[in-house]
Amino acid sequence: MMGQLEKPADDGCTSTTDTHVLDVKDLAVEFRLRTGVVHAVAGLSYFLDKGETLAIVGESGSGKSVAAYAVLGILTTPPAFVTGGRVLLQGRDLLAMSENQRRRLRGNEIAMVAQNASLNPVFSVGWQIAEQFRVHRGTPRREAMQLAGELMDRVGIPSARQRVNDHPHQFSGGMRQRVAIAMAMALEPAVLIADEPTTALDVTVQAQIMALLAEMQQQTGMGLILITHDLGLVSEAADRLVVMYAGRECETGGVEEVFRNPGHPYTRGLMKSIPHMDRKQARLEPIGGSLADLMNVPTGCPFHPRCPFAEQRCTTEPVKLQEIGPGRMSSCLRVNEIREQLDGE
Amino acid sequence: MASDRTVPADEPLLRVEDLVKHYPVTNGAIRKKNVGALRAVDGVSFELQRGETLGLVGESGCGKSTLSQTLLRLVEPTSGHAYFRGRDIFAMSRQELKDFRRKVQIVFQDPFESLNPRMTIGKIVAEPWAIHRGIVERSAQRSRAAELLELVGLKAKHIDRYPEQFSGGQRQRIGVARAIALNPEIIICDEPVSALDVSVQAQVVNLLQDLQKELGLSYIFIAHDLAVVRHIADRVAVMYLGKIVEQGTESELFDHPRHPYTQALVSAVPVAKFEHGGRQRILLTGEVPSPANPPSGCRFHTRCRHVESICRETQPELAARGIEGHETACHLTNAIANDVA
Repeated sequence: MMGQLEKPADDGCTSTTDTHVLDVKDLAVEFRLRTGVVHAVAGLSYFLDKGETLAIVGESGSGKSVAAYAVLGILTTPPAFVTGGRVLLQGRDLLAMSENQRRRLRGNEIAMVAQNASLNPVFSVGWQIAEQFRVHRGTPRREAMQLAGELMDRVGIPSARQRVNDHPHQFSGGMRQRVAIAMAMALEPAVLIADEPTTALDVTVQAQIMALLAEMQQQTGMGLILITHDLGLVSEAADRLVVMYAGRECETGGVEEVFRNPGHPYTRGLMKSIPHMDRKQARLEPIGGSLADLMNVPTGCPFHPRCPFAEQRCTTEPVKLQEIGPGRMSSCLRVNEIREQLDGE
Repeated sequence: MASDRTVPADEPLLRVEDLVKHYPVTNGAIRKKNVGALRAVDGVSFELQRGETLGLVGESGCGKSTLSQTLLRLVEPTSGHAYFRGRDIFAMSRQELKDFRRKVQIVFQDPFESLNPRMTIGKIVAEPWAIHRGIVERSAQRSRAAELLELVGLKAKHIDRYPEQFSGGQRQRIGVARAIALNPEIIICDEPVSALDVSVQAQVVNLLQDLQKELGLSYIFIAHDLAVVRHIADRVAVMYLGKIVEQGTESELFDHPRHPYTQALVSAVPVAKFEHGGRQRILLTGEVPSPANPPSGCRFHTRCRHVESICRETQPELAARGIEGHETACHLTNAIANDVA
């Protein structure tokens, strides 16, 4: 299942002097298709600390979900190949270990909640939650089911103990997402990856689910990676964010700093194009053009065809992240000129 | 529309009165027995003025899409009336209905499924003229289609391309071009930007606003994204379990929501924690009850934090309760604080 490593890192399993619970460096993923190679993720780096929420923000095709699947080692190979990078989970390189070792960590130390609660329709929800305890801990069946009931209660499912034997279709979308969270939280992982956990839900249910995730995080101190396209949600729930476009990292930094003073024209464009809830704007300022075609990513900065600040060198010079402040990076070649210009706005 | 009848000058473009659509709930595989009714739309009244945008918000299952289908008479209502320029839509003859449907068009949510993949976009935009003959001469159709494509921001030279050659945002523009091909007066926009990426949403929102100004269109704008609705709507109606619970101007409704459900809905929208120090959030408990078996009295009473005994017994009417033009269906409107911000 796991993306095959082209260049296995030989020092893969040795721990570095990191304090980060998850540390991803130069992750690269490509899809080899009959029609060509798609560089879905090209050099993504980020870290996550204990108890922290990191948002990975991007639109369709930005590579935000593929990167998460690569971190978990659940991409299908072929066509997906992890072609480089390191993923250190509490110091151990997930990409350098065997699938067996990785499977032991998944669920136990790193878990995931997907957009549409991925539950098996033919097993009861209690059974599916209990499976975590039975497989990873060898807990006897009866006891595991009891633990499942307790967990369902903890994630706010009404009359949970009576409902452990119900099947997924007997629950609403919000309740199914609670079941998925219960399943992911069962073994109290150090890292939870939530891939658009509330996108399919109504806004009042979204508020419930986000409150639940925050509560779980507070109780267990887990690090949360929130993958989303919703900037409003990011501004409310995240501590730091990574903005991705066409598989590349545009910028990273603390949420407040990035929202107050974006360090990349794409981030700035996104923020100007969304309407605000607390006031009515005269007119939205959309980003022109369409999303980049991943089969044919523009040379230089992939955002240059849509960028109002693009100049000649943006179309040719390869971009790389540069530091623009404490804890802040941007891949924009003109970031310093542009920020001066924007300060005058 | 035939204007052989005199219509009062103050008659709104569209006036909906106590509209009801119940779907039968049946039991038994062969001999179907009616065992109840799913009250999808249960007594909805509102008006739409010329050139106005009415936002319609509410969560899944509140009946907003059934309402739009009933207004187009795609499904027959159980009871109630809807008047387009004073004529009852549900009493129209075949010919009148055809004229009416020319004047009321719809833009759908999913630009990937609402365009025929086997037709060029020029044919898609021109198709309405094959049904409503005499609007554009056949010989002029191609050039008019090209004009419409330009109007919605596409290139006229792409007229012979197929939908799959366009991105989501561009496809939604094609859907809009088709909707305006018959010079309609009302466009029902059913979640028109929900399927689009954020950077593209704004393009389509701006296009809809420009066309409204240029062509004098009225919109019924259905969406679950409250910020988008606030941006585009003049007035907003909030639905819960088949009923409008509150309606008012965009600023009244979002800045000073008066119905406890609207208050919870507005407070659920995420706000930057660093800007407002976080907002006081009203978390609703439980789930939306089934529209096949709605609660007695006020439908929201099972989840309302202000509930009193009157709420369980008497159904509150939608009425202005102290503020002109700002209607709520809540007995306690004036008793409860009306600010969530």
